[in-house]
Amino acid sequence: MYNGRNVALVYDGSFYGLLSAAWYALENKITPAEITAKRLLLPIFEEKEIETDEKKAMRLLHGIENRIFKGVSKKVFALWLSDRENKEELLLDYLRFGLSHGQKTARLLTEPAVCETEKTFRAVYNEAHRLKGFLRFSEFDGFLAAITEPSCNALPLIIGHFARRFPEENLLIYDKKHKLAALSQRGEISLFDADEFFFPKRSLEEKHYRILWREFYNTVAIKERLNEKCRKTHLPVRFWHQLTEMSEENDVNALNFENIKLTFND
Amino acid sequence: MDFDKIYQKLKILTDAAKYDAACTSSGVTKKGERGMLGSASECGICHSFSADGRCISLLKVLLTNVCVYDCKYCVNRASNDVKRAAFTPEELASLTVGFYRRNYIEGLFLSSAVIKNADYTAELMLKTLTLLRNHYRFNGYIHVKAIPGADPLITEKIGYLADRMSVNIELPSEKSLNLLAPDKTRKSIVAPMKQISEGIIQSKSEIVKYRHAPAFVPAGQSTQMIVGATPETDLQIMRLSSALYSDYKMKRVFFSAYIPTVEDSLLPSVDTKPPLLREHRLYQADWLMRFYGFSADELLCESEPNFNPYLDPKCSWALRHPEFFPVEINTAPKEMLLRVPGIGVKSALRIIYARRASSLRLEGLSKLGVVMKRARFFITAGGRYDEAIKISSRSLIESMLSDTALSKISCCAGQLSLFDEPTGEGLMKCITGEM
Ligand code: SF4
Repeated sequence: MYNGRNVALVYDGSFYGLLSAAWYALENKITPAEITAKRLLLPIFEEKEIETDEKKAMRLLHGIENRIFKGVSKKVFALWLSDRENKEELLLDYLRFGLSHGQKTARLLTEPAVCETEKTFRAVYNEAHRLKGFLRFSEFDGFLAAITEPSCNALPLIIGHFARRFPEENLLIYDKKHKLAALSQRGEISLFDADEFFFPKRSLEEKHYRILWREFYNTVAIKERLNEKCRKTHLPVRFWHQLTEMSEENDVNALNFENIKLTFND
Repeated sequence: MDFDKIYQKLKILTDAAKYDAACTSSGVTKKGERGMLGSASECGICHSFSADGRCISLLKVLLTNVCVYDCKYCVNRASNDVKRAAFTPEELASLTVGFYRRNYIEGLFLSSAVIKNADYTAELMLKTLTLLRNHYRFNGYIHVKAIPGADPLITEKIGYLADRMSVNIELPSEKSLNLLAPDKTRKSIVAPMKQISEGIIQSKSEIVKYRHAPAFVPAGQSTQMIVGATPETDLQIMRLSSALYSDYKMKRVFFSAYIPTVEDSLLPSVDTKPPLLREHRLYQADWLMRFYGFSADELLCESEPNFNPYLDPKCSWALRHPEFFPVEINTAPKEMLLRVPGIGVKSALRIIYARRASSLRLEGLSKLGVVMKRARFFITAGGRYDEAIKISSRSLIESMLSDTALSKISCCAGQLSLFDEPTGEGLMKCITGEM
């Protein structure tokens, strides 16, 4: 049987694309050397281009919900959102193992594919939870905007939270790392790819709020209890540059909000 | 916004409020609603962590630090010479909203010193909340500290606008309270506590009857006490805190290590270090009582009324009770799993979940989140102990100490004076003595 060792499945990077690739591998009973969204200039393996098929993707999701367990799609979605290497291959291993073990899959935590998937799932959701707290908006004429660089593609998991929290506001969250923007216009959500984002200059009022918040932040710490290690555990340093309270005004390291220019790519 | 004025007030009134321990935004879920601003999530959200490592979730400020009372342990006491300021309800409400919209905070933690009298102060707080809820349509989290001695009617109105309320019990005994807070009485503190806990029960039953009955303090009430300013033992403190949980249905009892800010002959001198390690032990014990099924009298006793600084309360209990071990992980009930050092609430649940599918072996446990370094002395899998353990009490002790206690001891070194001066030998004796 052709086991696919020499084949790389290339998909378009979308969630449905990934599911289509998994479908292809399961249907043809192959374990490809690689499933990837990035085309190499000099391919090492024979490349098989996967066409994204929304119908097949939905069928696969329904199928695994029934044959593995209710809620398994959430794990699969989290895998797709994650930035871990070889997430595609892990997904395929997980689905294969799940399809042959059914309901009890989630309990078999000693199986590497299950354990790794659970870990990734938790990491993705933890990151989303942190962003709910650590995102900072600045107010510009008529909208609130935030920039972030999360460790996974978490915007799809958090935009709903902010849309519900601020149902009367216009929100824009830009993920600089995954080049994704999430918009909520009075509760109406949309997501789109954007290579770059530039925001208008901050108003005087905005600058005042930033100073007030920094003052609060610095004052509330009790100097008899300083504990830098503890702060860094809870508030990982990688978030600091997006936090108003950690930036000096006009700090060059702070994420850049200057100039009026919006570039979209559709 | 008069920026300079607000800036000065915020600085003074944050500084005056910062010693309060509680800052959680947990206990209530509120979905966002059309036309409103804000929501709340059951487990709360931390928005930042200050340089002392504490979570910042709420804008924690005093409405004013102008005080007619003279509690000896407090920076804001009338006889202390500090800068005074007061927010107007409008200033504070709009500042809260400005911070909230920028996702700096989950909401407001409002407390106050007593300006003019208790009723006047409570009225100002009520006005602030009314502005927030009605004018700004603010649906985020609000924690209000009730003013002891205020008219119960005002307290009630506040309770219908706040998510959580608290009344500080202040000190662990009535005697200490009388001594250090001459203007407050046990009665004036307990009265609003009782009013709030009864109000919560009543409102819950009304919500069952009429779905849209207004909720009274839906996130429950909490309290806090200062530890280390007065001579009470850990056992007295734990007993008081379990009584507060059961009698007034507290959601949380907070402990706050006393940080001397004022000189007074009745108090520890101003160069005393705050007893952070002791506070940490109390929180660990509090955790064991709330989630692990321990009682205060299991953790401490009259002959040993204080926690061991070197061992966390759970390890210390396990070492005193060898008769409970080993615990067989494939069959032990949850309550027993929870008593094993190195197994937490989450890993206990994962064990129970995983063992339904297949029987567990020791090797797989660390994947379930069990800290094997500690747990392996106390458990068996299929009747088997971990082969690597040599049953010497010394390695057992060291495994308990290495990361929990020793690091704490080294990072909190100045405060051990609270306990007996540690010597290496004394340490081993004090621990092996418990075996
Ligand atoms: S009432 Fe007592 S504890 Fe409260 S602010 Fe005044 S002096 Fe301080």
